[in-house]
Amino acid sequence: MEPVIAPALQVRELSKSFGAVRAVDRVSLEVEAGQVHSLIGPNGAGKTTLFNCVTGFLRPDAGRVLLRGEEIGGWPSHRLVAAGLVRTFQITKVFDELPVLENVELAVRSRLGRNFDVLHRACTLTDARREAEQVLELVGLADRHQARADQLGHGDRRVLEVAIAIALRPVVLLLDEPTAGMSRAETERIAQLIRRLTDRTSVLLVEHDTEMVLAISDEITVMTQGQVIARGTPDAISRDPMVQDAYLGAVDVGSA
Amino acid sequence: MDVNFLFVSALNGVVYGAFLLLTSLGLSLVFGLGRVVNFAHGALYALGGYALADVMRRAGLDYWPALVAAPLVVVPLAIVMERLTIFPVRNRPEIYTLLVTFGVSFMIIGGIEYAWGTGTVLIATPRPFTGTVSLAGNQFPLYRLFAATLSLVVSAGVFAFVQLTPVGLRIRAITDDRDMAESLGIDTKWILTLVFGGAAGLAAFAGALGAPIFAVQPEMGTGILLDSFLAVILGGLGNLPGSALGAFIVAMTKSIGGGYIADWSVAFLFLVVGVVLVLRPTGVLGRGRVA
Amino acid sequence: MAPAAVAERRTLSSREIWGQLALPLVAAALLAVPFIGTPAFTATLLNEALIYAIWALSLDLLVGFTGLVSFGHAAGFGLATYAAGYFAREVSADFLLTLAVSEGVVVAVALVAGFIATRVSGVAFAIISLAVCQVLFQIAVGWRSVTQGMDGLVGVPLPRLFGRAIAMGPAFYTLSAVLLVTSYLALRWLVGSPFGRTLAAIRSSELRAAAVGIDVRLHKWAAVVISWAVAGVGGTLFVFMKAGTTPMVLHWSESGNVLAMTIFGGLGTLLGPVAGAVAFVFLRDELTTHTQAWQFGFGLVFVLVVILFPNGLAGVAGRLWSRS
Repeated sequence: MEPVIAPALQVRELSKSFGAVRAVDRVSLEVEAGQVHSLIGPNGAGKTTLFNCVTGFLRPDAGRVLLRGEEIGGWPSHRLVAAGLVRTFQITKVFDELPVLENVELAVRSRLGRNFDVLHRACTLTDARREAEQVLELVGLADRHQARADQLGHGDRRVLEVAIAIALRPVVLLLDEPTAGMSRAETERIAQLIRRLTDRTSVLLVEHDTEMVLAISDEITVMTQGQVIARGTPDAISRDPMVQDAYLGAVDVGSA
Repeated sequence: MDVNFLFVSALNGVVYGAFLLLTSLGLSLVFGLGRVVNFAHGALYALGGYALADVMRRAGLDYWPALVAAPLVVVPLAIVMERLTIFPVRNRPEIYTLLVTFGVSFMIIGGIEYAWGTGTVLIATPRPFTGTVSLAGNQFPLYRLFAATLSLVVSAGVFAFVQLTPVGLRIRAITDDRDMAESLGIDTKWILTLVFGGAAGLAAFAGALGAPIFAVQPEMGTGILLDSFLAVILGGLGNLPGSALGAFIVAMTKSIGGGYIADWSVAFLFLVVGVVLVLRPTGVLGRGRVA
Repeated sequence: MAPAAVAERRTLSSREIWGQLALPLVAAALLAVPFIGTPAFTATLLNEALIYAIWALSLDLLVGFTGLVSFGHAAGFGLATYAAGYFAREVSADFLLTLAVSEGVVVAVALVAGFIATRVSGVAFAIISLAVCQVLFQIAVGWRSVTQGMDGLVGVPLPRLFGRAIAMGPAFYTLSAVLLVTSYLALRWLVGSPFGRTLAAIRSSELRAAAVGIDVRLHKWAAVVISWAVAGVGGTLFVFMKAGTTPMVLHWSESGNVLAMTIFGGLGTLLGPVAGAVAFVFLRDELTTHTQAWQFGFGLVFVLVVILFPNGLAGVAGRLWSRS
């Protein structure tokens, strides 16, 4: 009998209210290993609140979050990252004044437990550097590795943020609207990158670009007004009349 | 425990709290509105006291007209200060306004010492509030009661202004969400100058009002500056009711604690602040920013 | 697949040679000062500058490298003057022993103060650090039995090293210079280590740093303790040089002075603050003899530097160097 592997991420009956407003109402979802699971829904559906609860930025009122079967409620950011839960931000946050390479190197060194290392010179940690260079190659930023992070264009900065996240070798990678403000070409690029990551991590993605979501997801959860109204494969979701009503509207999703 | 001593200390705490309220509210308003941290606030308080003393001596005015004149002298200076020093760094990180106003406070205090020397200037208690009143068997200076009451009235006026007037509404809008307010057409620039001037006026008024109680000397603003900052931090940065609560916590802690351990009042206060911050870094009401 | 960058061997340009040599040359010149016929008065002033430079270096670690602006950096320095002065006078003037005791006191207090102060960031941190210093100031004034209050500690003897007294003059100057160079090298190493780069990451973006697994609070706490410890070295030297101390060393204007030196010199450069300290000491000496409005002028320069030259001397020097 095959051993049962716990899903990478489990959210169980999570709820969060702000005063009288129920932003998230008993939401559950699961992300299997190597899966791309997308969370979509209209504005104000509670997606970002859910995201912030899962990643430790907000304290949920009820419910549990499990990473590979282990409860991670109330853990501080650095502990979550060490356990393999990594996120990106809606408004891209990278180390602006530092070079692109060092942005990723910092993540690698952090993962290697070097944050309190005073015995070495950072520049002599060649294993960290090499790994960082490899990650930059994977995402296609190798040629910009010397530039300061704030000199990159919007799309490249988002890719850098993903690179930093990858360097942390996450169990689950949570992407907060990764294609916001991107051109068609940049969106394509990120979408392909996300698919390529499934051999090393699972992905939970909050998005507004439904076309992209339908193209790359293994599973989609649809939220509106704090509740889950549908869940399934891209095919099933695009055909679901409730979803079309609430959200997709008249989007033509190809073969019916 | 000497009940009378405790009672008088508590009363003094309320008096100091009323003054602290004036300065803390100003500080909190300016911060909430423009993310400006005014380290020169204490110096403006001192300038109020000196303006009062100067006007009384040079123009030969009585205390009461001088009390009105002092803020009127300080406010234009504060506005010039804001335009010349704070305005240029408004787009840089918050810490720059703190640094720049830090430098300005040196300038103001240095200017005060240059113009008036380093000694203390005594201002006599003005009529008709000389003398004491009997409260629960203790003699308490009448002027202190008057000054505290006036401070509370003015503070209430500030609250009312912010809550009830159209200008106050604009102030609250900008404090809440500056970008949104700007896109709604609210002119944020002159409102900041207006509020800054108002806050300076409050500080100068407090300095002048308190002159008969607390003495006028160049360093008079330092204590109240630190206390105001602590009050605002305790209440949560940018939180107006929180700042008011913080002001009274600070004042009472200092007064009652300091009454028993006079030289150590600041240490005791810091202990209290430290404990609060360890337990609730977002302030006692839990609604402030951790900055 | 991009090939790994290959390091090329090439001859160094004369600029690079000068760049490498400049520092050791300056250090050597600094060490040589008392032995080349410098007038005693200037050497004494320079000695004071060297001590202030250690102080400014410690603040640069905190402000320039970790991004924590402190308005109370007189605390570690001033505390050390009292701890060292008291110990040297009452127990033993052996320099190494005194330094060890003074460092112990400073680190112990820094652990507590730092723990509280790093609960908050930015502006609140600046104010809390000011409050800490005010508390120490009040203790220095109030604890008369130990500190002699406003009169201050007097009668601190000359330091002794390996049994021999270190007289004021070339001997003490050399001690100060050696400690400055050591502090500089130690900090230079520290900021180049992974720990140091983590501090830089925190300065760049605390949010991002936490998001890559850095324990931001712990690092900030460590930065505070280390910077107090280095400041303490300066304080220990200072109390010996002045043969005593007063509560004024803990006054908030002193915190302003060291902040000015560091900003004026150039944050995040280590060398800039050293230059800033030297400039400050000589400027202050020059100006206080000419005008009573020293404090006003100081404030004015401070404001101008913050607005116009936020990168300080080092920034200006850097721009001139890259243009040459």
